[in-house]
Amino acid sequence: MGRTLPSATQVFLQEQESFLRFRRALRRSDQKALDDLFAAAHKHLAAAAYASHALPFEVFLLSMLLEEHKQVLRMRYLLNPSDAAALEQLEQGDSTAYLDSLAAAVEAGNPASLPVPEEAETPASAPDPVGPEPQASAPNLIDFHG
Amino acid sequence: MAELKGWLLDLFADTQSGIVLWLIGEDGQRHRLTQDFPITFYAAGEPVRLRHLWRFLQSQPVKVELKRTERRDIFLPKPVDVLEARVTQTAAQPYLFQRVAREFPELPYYDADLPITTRHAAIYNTFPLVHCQIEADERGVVQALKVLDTPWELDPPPPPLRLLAIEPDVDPAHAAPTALYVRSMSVSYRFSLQHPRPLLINLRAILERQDPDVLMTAWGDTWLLPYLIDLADQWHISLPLNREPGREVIRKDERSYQAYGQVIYRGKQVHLFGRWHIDGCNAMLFHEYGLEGVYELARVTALAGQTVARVSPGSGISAMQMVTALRLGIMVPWHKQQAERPKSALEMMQADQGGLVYQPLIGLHRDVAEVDFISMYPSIMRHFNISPETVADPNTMGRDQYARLERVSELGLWIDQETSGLIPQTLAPLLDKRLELKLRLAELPAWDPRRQTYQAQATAHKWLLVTCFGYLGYKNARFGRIEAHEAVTAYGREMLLRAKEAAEDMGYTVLHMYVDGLWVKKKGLAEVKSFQPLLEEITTRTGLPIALDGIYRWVAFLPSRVDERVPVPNRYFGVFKDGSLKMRGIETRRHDTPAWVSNVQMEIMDTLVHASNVDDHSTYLPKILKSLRRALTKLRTGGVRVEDLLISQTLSRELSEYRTPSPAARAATQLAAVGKNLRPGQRVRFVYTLGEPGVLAWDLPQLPDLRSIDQERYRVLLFRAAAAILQPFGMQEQDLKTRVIANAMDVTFFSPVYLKS
Amino acid sequence: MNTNAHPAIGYGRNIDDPLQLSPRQLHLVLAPHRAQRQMMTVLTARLALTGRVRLVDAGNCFDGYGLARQLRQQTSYWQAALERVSVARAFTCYQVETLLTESVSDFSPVLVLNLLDTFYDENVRLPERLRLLDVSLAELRRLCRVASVAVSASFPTRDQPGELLEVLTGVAGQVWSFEEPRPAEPLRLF
Repeated sequence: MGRTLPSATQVFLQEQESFLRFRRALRRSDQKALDDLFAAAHKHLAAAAYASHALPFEVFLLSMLLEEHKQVLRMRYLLNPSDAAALEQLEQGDSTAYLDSLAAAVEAGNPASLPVPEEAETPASAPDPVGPEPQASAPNLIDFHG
Repeated sequence: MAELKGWLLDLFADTQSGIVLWLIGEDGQRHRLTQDFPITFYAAGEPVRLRHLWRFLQSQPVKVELKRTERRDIFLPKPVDVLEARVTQTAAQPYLFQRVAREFPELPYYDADLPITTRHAAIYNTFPLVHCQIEADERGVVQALKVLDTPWELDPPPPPLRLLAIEPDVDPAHAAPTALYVRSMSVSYRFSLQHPRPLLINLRAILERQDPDVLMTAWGDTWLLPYLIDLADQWHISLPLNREPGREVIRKDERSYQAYGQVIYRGKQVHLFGRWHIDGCNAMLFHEYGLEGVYELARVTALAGQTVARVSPGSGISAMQMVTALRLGIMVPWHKQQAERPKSALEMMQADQGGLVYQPLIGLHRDVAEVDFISMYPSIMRHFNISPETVADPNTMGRDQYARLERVSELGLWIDQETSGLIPQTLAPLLDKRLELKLRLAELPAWDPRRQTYQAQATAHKWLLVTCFGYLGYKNARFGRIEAHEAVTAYGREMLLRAKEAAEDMGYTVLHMYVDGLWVKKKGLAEVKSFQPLLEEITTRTGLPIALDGIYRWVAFLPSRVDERVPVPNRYFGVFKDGSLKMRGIETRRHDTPAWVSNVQMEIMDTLVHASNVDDHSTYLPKILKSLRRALTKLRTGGVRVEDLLISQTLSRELSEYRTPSPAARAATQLAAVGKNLRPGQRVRFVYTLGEPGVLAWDLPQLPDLRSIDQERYRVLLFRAAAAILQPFGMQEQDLKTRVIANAMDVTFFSPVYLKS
Repeated sequence: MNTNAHPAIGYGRNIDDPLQLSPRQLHLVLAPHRAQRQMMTVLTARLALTGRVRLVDAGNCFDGYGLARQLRQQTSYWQAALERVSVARAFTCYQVETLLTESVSDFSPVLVLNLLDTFYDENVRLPERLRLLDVSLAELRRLCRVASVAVSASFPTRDQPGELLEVLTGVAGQVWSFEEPRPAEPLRLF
């Protein structure tokens, strides 16, 4: 009935298909990771549709990044069990509480939120919500913001 | 001069002139009346061609009164110059118009092919089963007509309809019937089909004595009535199926056609004059709303009962629009001519979308409220005045007109708010009645006999409303307009998002959203009244009515059958606080699930519904495993009836068009071999069998042998169906199989293939 | 990101060659559906780089996303180019006739996608469809006098009447025809 352009779901499937050759040539374990990325983008099809972007794949990439970031947030909480309540909300899809506390941390000037490799650590006058700083020399994957 | 009061049963063109009306009199008699009823249609176009048309019409044997005038075309800003042709002899108009259209095909025509009941409704406000008062002269010619009720009343005094039901003893597609059952309120008979003469004589006597207003049949369209008519012919015994003397019944052929993206099959039809023939097996959606629903549809759409029972809801909506248009002096176009206004490619991407469909969080959720907009799209059409003629392009209007316009947020569309549109005017009384009915139903106690009638009527309304949105965008809809359709979906997306924002602003978590509904939860809220502030806030922000569908004790959102990580928007089930179950997209609701499987699914659901603690497997799993084992044992020991193993699938195309035949196609081929040819859109029933071709059609002369059933196939279906339900409860299909087998008495039965899969 | 490699042979052209539009000619691109769609998308993109383009989608096949991707590959001002493309859809042969009759003559090129699709609808009598096609083609010739016009269509299947395509080819000035290669069994490496 007047639908001309493919739906977000159809575009998603087409994009996924267009990467089948890439996927095939990956190692089996890497294929699973790639599938996870696409499953992540699948969660936000409604928003992608509403966005009405002329290049939908850009929105899918953003969705994958969104889910990746949520994983990062989750892992941060795992390092700090006292924030279990906020973690539970996160699991339910609501990251409001975490984001609020992150904003509070930024205001308190906690360097853990904004890593600058050369800068010395500020004195811990404000509480550190993210957890103990790992060794400065080891690769800092958890706090890495790229 | 006689003054008659009663209910209008039937209305059709007379063979001579004018129309015939059949009235169920308050005096208990059935009155046949006639009425003058000239038909007017219009032609527009080039003046030269219209002059030729004028001359053509004047030269016709049929008497036509011609006139030049101006009338409104809804798609044009100013009235159009038209040729008005008034045909006095009602029955002659359709044929005359056919000739005109053939001779002058390029002219736009209006009001050319409308149902008679629609025209009558526009002038006299009549509709089938209307209570009215008629003044007729000695010859039974109507002099004055006044209606005493409207289609919008909730409890009109019901007409005293006389019903007669006739049905064969078995489905004729399945086996040759041997007897007929004939029943009315007072009598009940069984006639053998082996003795045609007494059958026909008795049937004739019953028809004359009972003189039914409504003839209910099973397979009356496709087998029974054609069979009886032929039989009557053979034996030279007339069968007064029509109440109207001197007429043949109307017979229509079967057809398959494409509509709404599917293949639809319409069986043969038999229509009567002076009474209604309703075939319960060929009536559209009959199982949804029954005879009461048909009555309501006839009243509300002003389409004849026999028509409305057989056509799709789209035709019903179309008829309603036509009545409104005629009453407003708007001409009804013969062909949909209107085309889309150009949009930029970017605008196309924004406009060409449906409702917002989210992916839910897979799994089990507790204390979840489902909140739905009431008839969202129709409400939007009404509230925001969306109609084909109200969608405006500011570029074509003077600046002084801008004040009348309201912009549809994301689309380059503006809606004229000043004049009430055709569509909102058509829908308003229906929406109001629907709401009133819902309120009434909510108040009525469960034992009140009126519930059934109200329920049927509500269902009929629901179908009309559900269709009217799609119809707005339908390519052949006379008053369709794609921009209006797109405006409606744009508003729909906007309003759903506002509802989400309202919920989130008020601290709710939104678990799922689907076009016109949200699933929300908030810690500590589990009572109906606690959700009231949310409902009010949403209505404030959107202007649309919204209601709480219910609060789930728990609801499970299921993943895709193909990939467990991937959620599916419309596959879930749950238990409301009051213990009732709601489910969507589960096997039980699909046609192609055999009864044996859906029965077990229902047993499992029932166990879950009554489980004391949904978190503890031990409170429900043993019972479920028992249900499964019992079902499997019955299958293995031949205790399941073949009927319960039937799969029902639709044939999607002609048999010759299949490259690799589906199971349905293979079964249909078997039926074709015995002369039973199925058309696309028809359902085929079959069972899965061992070996090739793997299926055996039902309705063949020989019944399937239980020993030939492919039990493995059915076991797979059963486990898949069970696993679908239990997955959110943490039970995987493999787990389930293992546990079912583990305590089985006869382990050797389960084949090794099955055990390792 | 999404490339449909499609084998096609005909009159010495292959699918990637740009179709050159000459003024005051009614151009016809005859090809199977997918090839047609792709070629018209490429053509639209090329035209949109330098000016407005009017599309009449007569087969519900407008490839908006494909067009966006094409444009993005060609220019950084792809969004502006996309806005220069206007689309109007016709879902019945009556609507095709109406759309073309109501189209204003101006200089921007007109591309009609899959013109014959709605004319194969059996629900309308063939004489009526032929009449509507005649009127539509006359309107296209009118538009042709001032702008470049290109029409795409596919070959009729066995069940579809051949007259409709005949009428169209009779009126077209420049015809590019691409046929599906015969299904031979080529040697395969893998």
